[in-house]
Amino acid sequence: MPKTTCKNFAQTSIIAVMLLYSYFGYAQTTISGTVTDSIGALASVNILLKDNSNALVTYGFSNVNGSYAIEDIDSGTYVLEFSALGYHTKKLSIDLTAEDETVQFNVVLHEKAMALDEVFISAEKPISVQKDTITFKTKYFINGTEQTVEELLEKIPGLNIDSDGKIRVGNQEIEKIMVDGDDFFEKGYKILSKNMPAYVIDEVEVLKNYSNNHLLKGVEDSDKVALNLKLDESAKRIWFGNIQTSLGNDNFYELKGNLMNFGKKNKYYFLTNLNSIGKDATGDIQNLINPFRLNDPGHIGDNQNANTLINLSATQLDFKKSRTNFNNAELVSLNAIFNPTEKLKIKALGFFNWDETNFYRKTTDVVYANGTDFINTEDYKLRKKAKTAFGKVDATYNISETEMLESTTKYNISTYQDDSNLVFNGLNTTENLNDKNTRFDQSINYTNKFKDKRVLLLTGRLIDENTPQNYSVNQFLFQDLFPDESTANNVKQYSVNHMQFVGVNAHLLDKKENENLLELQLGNTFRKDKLNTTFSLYDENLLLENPTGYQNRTMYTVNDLYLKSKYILDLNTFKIIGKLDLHQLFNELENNEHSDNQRPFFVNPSLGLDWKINNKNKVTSTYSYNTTNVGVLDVYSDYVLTSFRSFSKGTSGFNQLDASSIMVNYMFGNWSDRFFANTFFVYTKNHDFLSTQSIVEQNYSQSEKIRIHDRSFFIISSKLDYYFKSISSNLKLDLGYTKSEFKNSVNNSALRQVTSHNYSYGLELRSGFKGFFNYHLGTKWTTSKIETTITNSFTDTISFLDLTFVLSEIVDVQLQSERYYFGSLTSKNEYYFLDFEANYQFVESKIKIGVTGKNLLNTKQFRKYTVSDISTSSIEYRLLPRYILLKLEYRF
Amino acid sequence: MKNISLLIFFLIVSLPLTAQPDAVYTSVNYHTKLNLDYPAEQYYTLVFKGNRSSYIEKEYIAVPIPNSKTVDYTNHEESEIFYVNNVEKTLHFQEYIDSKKYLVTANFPKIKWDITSTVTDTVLGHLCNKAVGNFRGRTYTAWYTPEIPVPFGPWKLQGLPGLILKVTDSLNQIDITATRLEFKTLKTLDEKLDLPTDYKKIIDEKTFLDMRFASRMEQIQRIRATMSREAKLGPINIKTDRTNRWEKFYEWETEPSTPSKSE
Repeated sequence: MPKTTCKNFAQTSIIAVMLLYSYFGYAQTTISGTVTDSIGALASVNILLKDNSNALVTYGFSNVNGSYAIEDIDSGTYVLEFSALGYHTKKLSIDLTAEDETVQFNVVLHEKAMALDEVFISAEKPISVQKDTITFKTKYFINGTEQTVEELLEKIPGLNIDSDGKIRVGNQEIEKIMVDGDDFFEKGYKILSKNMPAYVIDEVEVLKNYSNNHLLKGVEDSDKVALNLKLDESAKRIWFGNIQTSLGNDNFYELKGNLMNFGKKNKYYFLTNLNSIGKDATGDIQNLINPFRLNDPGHIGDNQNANTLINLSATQLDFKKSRTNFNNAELVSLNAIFNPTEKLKIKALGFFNWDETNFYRKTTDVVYANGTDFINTEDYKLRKKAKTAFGKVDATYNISETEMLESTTKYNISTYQDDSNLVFNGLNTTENLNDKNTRFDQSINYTNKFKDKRVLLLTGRLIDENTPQNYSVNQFLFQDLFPDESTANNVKQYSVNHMQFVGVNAHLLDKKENENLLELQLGNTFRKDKLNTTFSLYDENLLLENPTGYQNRTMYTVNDLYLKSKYILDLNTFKIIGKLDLHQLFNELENNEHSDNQRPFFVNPSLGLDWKINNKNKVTSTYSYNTTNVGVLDVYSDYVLTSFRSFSKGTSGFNQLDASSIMVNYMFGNWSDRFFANTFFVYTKNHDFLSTQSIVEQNYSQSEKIRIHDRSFFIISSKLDYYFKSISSNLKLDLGYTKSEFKNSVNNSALRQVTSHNYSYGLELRSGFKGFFNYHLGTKWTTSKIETTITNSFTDTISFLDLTFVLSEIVDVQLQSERYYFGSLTSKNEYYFLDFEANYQFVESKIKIGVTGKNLLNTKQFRKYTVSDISTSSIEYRLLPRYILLKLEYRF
Repeated sequence: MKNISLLIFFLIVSLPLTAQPDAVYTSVNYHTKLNLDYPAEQYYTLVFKGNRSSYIEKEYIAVPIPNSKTVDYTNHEESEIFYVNNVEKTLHFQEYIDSKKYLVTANFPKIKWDITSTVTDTVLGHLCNKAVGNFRGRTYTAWYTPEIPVPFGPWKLQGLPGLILKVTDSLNQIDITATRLEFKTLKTLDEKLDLPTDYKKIIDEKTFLDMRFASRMEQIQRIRATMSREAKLGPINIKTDRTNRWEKFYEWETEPSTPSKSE
């Protein structure tokens, strides 16, 4: 062999060996083995490899056979630790050298008894669970074209808004709408929902089992519901708002403006609404001025109002008031909530509303009244001017965590001037009615939650209200009643009801450990009504006579000392509610110098049963027996003019009226189920009631209240919802039947029975498509029948078809069409309406434009047919003609 | 004589209650604070014995405004339960769609925990080490205690050499903390360690997410179709942004930002 080859081989071998040596020299070790205990293999044992500083290098677990393997460990000294729950930990000191490829450690672990009485608890307190709020993520239901909060809320499932803006969750009307936890308007929330813009709202919360008084939360048995609107972050603590102007043909216009600032300490909300398109921006002023809160502890006297005898009405049923409301309305409302200190909250609310409305109606009445048959025609044009100014200051002071003092002061002045031009049977007649209403209302409430589940409320209230009315008619239609007055040619009546109310009430609520609730109330209410009416016959401006029998100087005082008790027994799926009210009344009546008094005592019991059969079936039922004491309008003794041709008089004596009532409601499913049904029926029997004995003649009618036995009222109603998945549409079925029976006397007849039946069936189909198109169609039949000695009936049908096209977030178009069919009219009994709205939002801009067209088919009037127990009538209403508005909205 | 019997009596009475590991299970209560869409709190209980654990839902409370308690309107009839089997390496959970129960099989979470940190903390009376890991788009910091040498933890997080007693995420949207830990005898176990048998079907996770999305869509359509006449509806806007989802993306998605139908 040559010398070089040998040398090469040696060199290569040395390199090779060195390479091999280095490979093995820095070799990583795998640690493996098995872990067992006295019985067999142990799985899931922790195997920890720690270095000299006790830091964890790596770890592994044993598998189902007890074997483990930890790979790629560098050489060094370690501690190998085996631990498992219920076993003593085993630690091995190991030393890995470079040469070790794998090392094996098999380990046996020994059981350790586990201590059971040791419990580790953290100091955190758990939150108590109260399932009473539902939050809606509105993003699935809105499309960004909503203008007002009312339109936003219409889209939240479970919330129903009826045609005049009353918001309900299920069947329950909401108490209030709060904005970020603060409430401006209470039951007068419609003014907010109709005006506040929707784009500032991020989320809507439905608070069920809501308590107006936070100290009653968890104590009172409440099924009240409130809404809380959560503002978008960008809208908080800054001044923002919007202005919307719409102008159209023939002086139709609308101007809306909102200016808001919702800070943490103070909240301000100013709004204004001017329109001539028939909209009522206050949404029912009465709910703002004097909300009626049923069953709300800490409120007495909510139902105490003065009375007005004459009311020139502009009401019609059947469809949207905005179609017949020829108006010119201005509303300005200033509202603020201040929190000057942590404990004190002050709310100030004020609004001024001017409204001028015109109303047009033509009526033909065919009257059949025992012995008399005649036909009356009226061509009625009414102009109402109403001015209302209202101010309210609410102060709430939280004395401590368990005590609270609230005070509310309200002052209201309204003036009304109604003038009507009436052609009555060819005779030109004008009516003038001037009303003024002043009301002062002060209430104080002290709440003390003296134990965790026991609350005492002390309430006081003072109300002073005055309603003078001046009424004059420029015709004298009452020759037959006043045959001696041959020169009379007009009549006037001055009437005033001055009402004063003082009430005090102590209310104790005691919720027991087992969730049963006991409530006791002791109180006294005092109401004094002065009713003075003066009816005069005039010849031009010369006062002829104030005829006897037509003047009232009435003073009626009712003092009610009462004890009310209520006990709610809460047994799992049953809830039994028992109520017993004791009333001791002290009544005094003075009628034109004739005095009388009375001290009646009565007991009102009531029993209710709620049964939650299971998650899907719920039944609620109530039986109650009620005695009520009549009001001042039932006790006066002389005739009063209540319209241009009718007189009315009371019983001139005391009366307590008894009634029994039973109600049952059955609910199947929940509103979010595919099938949901709700049925209820109510039966009420009035053992005593006030009916009328009337004289009906062509030119006048006189009606006197008389006490009769036995009137009954029955209603059954059923609503069903079924969702058809195949067509993504929901079918609604609405069935109802009402029957009412009472007796009265007309034109000296014997008491005759009047029975009225009302049947209604409605069907609706609405789509829930995901895309840009949606439809909604429906139809409803209503049949009314009145039976006396003769039977009269008629059937009306309303059908509608709505189409919505939302092409994108920028453009949307809505079309609404309706058809009304009034049965029993021989001609002109079918009416069609078509409305549309289109909006365009400039992208990234604060400006939005739109076009609205209402009544495009220009239906100028509609006629309907109605029946009563003495007449059948055909009534024609004039409608707002076609108008088109161009709208511009600017947000800031 | 009397003294001795008294002594024996006291000894017996003061003997600690113990049991063999076979007859014992562990129960840990967790309090979860979430800040995803809106603040919410949940209570869960983790029970484990041997190689299996169940993470069971107890209460859910969302608290968007102070002084009010809220509940999400999609109420389950029964609880959501996660079942982990550490030996077979399986993760199942039971869920409801349209009121029907399904058993969903999920990919066993293989989380690469970084255990190099030497920071320690004490949670619930136990010394814990810190570990950091990524799972489905979120970075979690878990505090585990080798004093309880089991690989279990809350929700889908497991695989550390000790019970996880506290987890937070890097965006401060999730915080799960153990509030109570007990060892109990098997006789008192009424929670479920075994997989349920009364389900309608076994489905995989992707199928489940697609089915749940379709069912929620249908519920929304159904609710929209029950509105009254005054409500005008437009197209449904679904936000597919995942920043407020607990699991930001799934392993079967190719890019993390693909908005799949899964909610």
